[in-house]
Amino acid sequence: MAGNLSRRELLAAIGLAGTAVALNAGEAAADQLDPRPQYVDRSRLWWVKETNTPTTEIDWQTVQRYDETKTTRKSMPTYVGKEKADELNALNARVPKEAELEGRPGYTTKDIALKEATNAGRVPMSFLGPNKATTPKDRGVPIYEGTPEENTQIVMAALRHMGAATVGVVELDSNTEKLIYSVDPDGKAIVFGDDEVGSEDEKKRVLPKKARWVIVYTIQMSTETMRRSPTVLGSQTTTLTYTRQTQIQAQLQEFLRALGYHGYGEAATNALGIAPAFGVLAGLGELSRLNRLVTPEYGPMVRVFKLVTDLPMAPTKPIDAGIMEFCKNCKKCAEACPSKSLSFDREPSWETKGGWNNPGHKAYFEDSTSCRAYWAAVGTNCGICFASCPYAKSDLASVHTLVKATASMTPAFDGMFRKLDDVFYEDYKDPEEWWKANLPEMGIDTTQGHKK
Amino acid sequence: MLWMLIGLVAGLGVTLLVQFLNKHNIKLRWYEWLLVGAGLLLILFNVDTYINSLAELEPKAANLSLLFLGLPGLVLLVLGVRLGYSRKGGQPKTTSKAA
Repeated sequence: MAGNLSRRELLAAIGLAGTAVALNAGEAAADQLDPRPQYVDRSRLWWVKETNTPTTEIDWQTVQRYDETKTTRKSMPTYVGKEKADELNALNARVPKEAELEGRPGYTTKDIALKEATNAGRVPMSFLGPNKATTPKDRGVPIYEGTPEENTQIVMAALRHMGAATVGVVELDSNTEKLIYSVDPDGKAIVFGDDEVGSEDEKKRVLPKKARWVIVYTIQMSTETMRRSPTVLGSQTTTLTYTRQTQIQAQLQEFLRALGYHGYGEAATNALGIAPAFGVLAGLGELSRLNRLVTPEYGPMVRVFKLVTDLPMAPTKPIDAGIMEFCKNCKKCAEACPSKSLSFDREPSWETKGGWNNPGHKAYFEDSTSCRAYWAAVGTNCGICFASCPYAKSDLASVHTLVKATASMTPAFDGMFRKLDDVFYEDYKDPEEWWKANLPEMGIDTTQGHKK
Repeated sequence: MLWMLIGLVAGLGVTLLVQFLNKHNIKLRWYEWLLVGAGLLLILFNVDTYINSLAELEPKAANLSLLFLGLPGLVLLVLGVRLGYSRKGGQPKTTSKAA
């Protein structure tokens, strides 16, 4: 009975309750103390520092607009010769069939079926958008007008609602314009024009100079799935993400249209501009040893997309989360890469490896031809470097936050963290176990990186 | 929710520990409290790592955390209490007998 409590018992009970209250109150107080203004993505992790310049050094004088058809996706025969490219294409077609027949894990009929399924249901991608939503003019109302900060805020909210993970904005100027491809993957030129609205014909796509803002967004991939790479099962998380993007892009274009503005999107996969470059400048992540974007929230487990708009927006700043510094000491992806396509150099370099790289920035340039050749050998895309990255972890256990936050402040423990990652985690998991894992929707945690 | 449960368990654990120390009339010195505190922190951290690593489908990480966090935590905790206990000679209070 309460009336019979001794002084010691009463104090013990108070201590017990106090512990629980203090833990919850501390969390609430931390939320209230968050000084960041409303228009910035408030869900950003506390240890991610915004900076004025990215952790990638850029020589804007050297940077030129890049022709996307020079990537190995389109120009493999130019780099390895037509005979070799044909041989690799034949191998790429043969391997999955042979593997399916022999029932190789990750290549079984159910794995192939899932890949086929996730490839289905894509919305047609277009530069100008579906143009089906009503405009304010159609509805007889004035166009939406907000401050650039408000516009950034509503686009972030809308995109997250549509399924994007993180969102940033880059303002186009004489430098950042160079990150828009000179030629799209389908061979059409991208030019800047003085017209009020963008246009497209058989040879070119015209971006109006009025459209100055690039919306950059990531869509999560499933780490748990990609850790079954390189298999067809592992590769279909990429497929699923691209399928989701077609819908998200169309919805974003329609959202902007219904506000009274325009959204100029990617007409095909990897169109419009250099995704990692825009991702870095928008502060969605840092360039890494993978020569791809590594984000603080998901590591490399994202695909990066972009869209140009004439809705005036407040740009977001680049970040320093210690990721590039971590890459200098880690090298785990380079060691895991079966084709040894990634750089082992300690420091990033200005020297490119081939025509598939765009010069003008300091990076760990990769050998894209040997990477692609390995894709052919396994009959699917790879993803081992993505899956092996120590940043490609879920964030449920507090230890991940502790490690990432420490790495953002000092590189002193980076080597130790890399070794612990080797000991604690397996880079590759059994594809057959994936089917029994009872994963969340799309294999991703949509609260990851956004937990308070 | 997990942290609320951890908070409750930690509160209960500390209460029991204090009761144990009082019962045996053990007065810990500052460095013994430091060992006990560090041990408790490691054990709490281990609870979080173990449960959430399992949720992350990382059983290897969960199991290894017992070795790398839980065991050192337990050792520190026991060491802190044991130092005080052995200094006192481990004699229980005799208050009831005196009464």
